[in-house]
Amino acid sequence: MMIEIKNLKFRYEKQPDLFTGLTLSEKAGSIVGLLGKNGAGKSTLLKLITGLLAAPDGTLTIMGETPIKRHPAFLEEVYFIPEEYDLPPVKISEFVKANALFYPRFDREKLRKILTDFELNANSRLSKLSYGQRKKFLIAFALSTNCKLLVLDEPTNGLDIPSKSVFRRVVASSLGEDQLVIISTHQVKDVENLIDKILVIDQGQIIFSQNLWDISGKYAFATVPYLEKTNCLYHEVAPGGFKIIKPAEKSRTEVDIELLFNAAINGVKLN
Amino acid sequence: MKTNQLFSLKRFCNYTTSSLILRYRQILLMIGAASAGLLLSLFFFMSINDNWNNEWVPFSIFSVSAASLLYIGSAFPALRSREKTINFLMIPASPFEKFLYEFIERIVLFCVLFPILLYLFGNLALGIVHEIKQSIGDNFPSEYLSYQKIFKDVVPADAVSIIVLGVLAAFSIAFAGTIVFRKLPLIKTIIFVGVVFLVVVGYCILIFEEMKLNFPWIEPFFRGKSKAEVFSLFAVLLLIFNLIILSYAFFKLKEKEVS
Repeated sequence: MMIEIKNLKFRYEKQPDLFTGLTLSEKAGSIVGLLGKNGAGKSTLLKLITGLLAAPDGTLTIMGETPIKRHPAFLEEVYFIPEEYDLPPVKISEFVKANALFYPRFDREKLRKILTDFELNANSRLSKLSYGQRKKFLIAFALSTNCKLLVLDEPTNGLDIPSKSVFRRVVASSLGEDQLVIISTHQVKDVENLIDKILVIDQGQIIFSQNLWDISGKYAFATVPYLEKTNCLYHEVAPGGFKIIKPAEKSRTEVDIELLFNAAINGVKLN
Repeated sequence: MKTNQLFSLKRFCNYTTSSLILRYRQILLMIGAASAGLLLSLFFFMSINDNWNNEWVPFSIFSVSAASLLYIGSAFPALRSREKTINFLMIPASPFEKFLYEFIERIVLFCVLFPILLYLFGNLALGIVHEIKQSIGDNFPSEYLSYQKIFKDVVPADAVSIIVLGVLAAFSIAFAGTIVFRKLPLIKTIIFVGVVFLVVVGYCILIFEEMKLNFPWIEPFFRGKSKAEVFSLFAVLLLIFNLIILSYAFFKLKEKEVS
């Protein structure tokens, strides 16, 4: 297992408990979407996973290591893009020269291709780029490190519409079977067709954890003009009627992640 | 564990290379600022003094204090904001390698470079001021800066180790403060050290002066000992103090978290 978390308890000083026995395990080879309401602890969980915060109680191992020890061998395999970040006022090429040497499998050709996809010039100065352009550069750099664990906190914030689609394409095409990507986001539409597993965090626990293939095998997502009283597991009012989740029939339907998230948050048992 | 997770020379070299690529402009700028500051302050002090024969020692103390406080007190710039701290902590180098690099850049580099800058720009300023004063007919008794002369004539030979370790202790405190305090570390460190100093001095005054007491256990340490032996004892105490301060700073860095 790449991530093994057992019975994790955590709270900030003078704050109520945030995690009350959170348990989670993840294998490599997938792109996981971490969803949750504001304040549910998504960013905190990412910081615990990357070793930026210490877990006072419970077991937390990433690739067999305790993250808070921040061993260089661990840090070589983890790249974290926080929601708010700071980049030095240097050229992209200088940043790459200064930081690529820390990552043993850094792929400069991959970086060049992704920068081209994102329409970024290696001679641009990072301080002159917009927020979205800087984020695109960080995503390109993170993917090029070929780290085993990529942790992205709200990666599509600040990206324009074409860039979001490029983001999905480059992430999907850049990853190997030995890598795991965790994407925490509020913008579920931005990561549809990208993530292959959903984790929903609420009230200090992972309340939903399934891969999209399994979900689409078990449940059908549809918009109907009238509520069918039978078989409807969850519904929401939508333009033209209702969006519903019901048991799957013969053919698979595309998973409506937003509807699924709302159902999970509202206590509908979908596991 | 495949490799040494505490210190690896290759990783340390990588970290140094990376830091220098990102910071060489700032380092050059700081050297430029220190040079300009030295020249301007020397011009100022030389212009208001009629004689520069015995002024090198006080000026050296003043300039080293001011420059070291500013330079060493701004160590670990990455710890000043949450975003920079995340970048810093996520760099694949051990806390010891990061600590050692900063120690070298801030304290070792300062101790090596500043005396050279002071020597070069001090003597340059003196030469210029001397020429100007001579050209306008002013008498300006002065002598060029010579460290050999200062250490031979002014500083007692057996006190050198105490002075060096005392200065290092001040540097270590300022350095540790930059790890402990996130905002305004220099000011907070000065206030903290000032308060501790006042409490200790106040306590000593209370004990020795007001209550007519002394420390009977402290006397045997000095009884029958020569000046050199007492100095050596102080040097050892200062060395231990330095090691404690630096160890404390290292462990604070190692345990740094980002909420």
